[in-house]
Amino acid sequence: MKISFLKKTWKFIFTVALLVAVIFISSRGADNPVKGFMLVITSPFFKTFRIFSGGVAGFFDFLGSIGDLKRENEELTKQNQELLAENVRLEDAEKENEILRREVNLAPRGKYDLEASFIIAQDPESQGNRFLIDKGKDSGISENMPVIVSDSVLIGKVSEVFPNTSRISLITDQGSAVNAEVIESGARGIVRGTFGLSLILDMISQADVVKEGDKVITSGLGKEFPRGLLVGKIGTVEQSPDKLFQQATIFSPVDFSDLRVVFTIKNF
Amino acid sequence: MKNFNLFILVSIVVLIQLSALGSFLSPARMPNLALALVISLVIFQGFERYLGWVIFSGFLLDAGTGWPMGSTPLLLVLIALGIDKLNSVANIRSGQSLFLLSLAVILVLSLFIFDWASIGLSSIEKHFLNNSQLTYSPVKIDFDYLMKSAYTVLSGFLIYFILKKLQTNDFPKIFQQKASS
Repeated sequence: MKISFLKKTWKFIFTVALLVAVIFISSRGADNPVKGFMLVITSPFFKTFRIFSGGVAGFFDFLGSIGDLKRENEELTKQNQELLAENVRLEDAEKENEILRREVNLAPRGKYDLEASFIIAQDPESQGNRFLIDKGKDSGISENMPVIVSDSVLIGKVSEVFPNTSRISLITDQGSAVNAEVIESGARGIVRGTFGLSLILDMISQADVVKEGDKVITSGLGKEFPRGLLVGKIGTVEQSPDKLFQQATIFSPVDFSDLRVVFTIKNF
Repeated sequence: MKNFNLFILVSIVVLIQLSALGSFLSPARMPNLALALVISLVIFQGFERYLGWVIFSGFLLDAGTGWPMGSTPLLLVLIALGIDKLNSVANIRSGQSLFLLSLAVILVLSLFIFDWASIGLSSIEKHFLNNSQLTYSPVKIDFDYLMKSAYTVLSGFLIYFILKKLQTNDFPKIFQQKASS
């Protein structure tokens, strides 16, 4: 019995030591080909499970929302009418914008080289801040490329690339920092992720005026993200005279817990 | 229990954890299926017998996360060994309702320990291995965490039930018929 106990203990110590060694080697980047190989095999299954479960979840959501559909329909009809009117006004503004941009020699907006991809898995240890997509090196994706959803709303960037999959980190991730600007006042700051799937605009100068509802876009500083990608709208502003900077919460128009298709900007 | 059945079970659990669960539950409420599987395996027939499968499920899970490979297997092995040492589990295995209660308690405690140990391991890896990509969020005991615990317990019961069924019907019938013909 004593021998069996010693054998078991040595087996356990050996296993733990081996795993620590694997962690050490992996952190030097050696795990990328191993992960890449495993993801090549598993990503078709991830995609199938994700699409199937998305369909099932959508069906149950629909059943649960039948009672709200009529009211929502009426609201949307009213909104549609208001949007049609605004559309006419915006068409005029767009024409004027094109003329002005040509005059000051700015690059055309929205002309990004985009790679569309499905979200196939999410990192369970990241509180919903990291996902796997079904495109990788083979599709021309590389690290630090910005990731958006439709209408040029920034959601994150590529953090790790494998042959046919990539990992994206959302801007709500605690380690994320995005140079941003408030359109209405020109105030600049840094968008950071906080606990959960929320955002704050940090390091706003005390001299700048920022109010609820102002739109926040990427400023283009640092060349990490192109200028003009929408981040969200200002919520509450925290101002304190004894602090160096102001802070504001940001509401993103994107539901980060319900992402299905995203676009990676390969060139800007 | 046949290795083929276990391989399918482990693969499906990890696939569901990484891909399907996100469509139904918010990240804060997502149960830890891999942990539930490991605990069920260890309580079912001991840590040493299923050590390989504990490590395999951990590596599969690491492939889909941003952690260095080996992090999740290390945590799972340590927790599995801790549970194996709980001799009292063997004594109450015969009483069904008491067993279910103890399984639930073990699952909840293990989830709590796993989440805190993840934070500890992440900060160690970030500090000693200079891995700036690693981020971690503190464990917040709120309604979402209670729901996460409840889902983990339910998953643990389901997985334990499946393991018992796999043990008694060890070989899928369709393969038995083909083998005998």
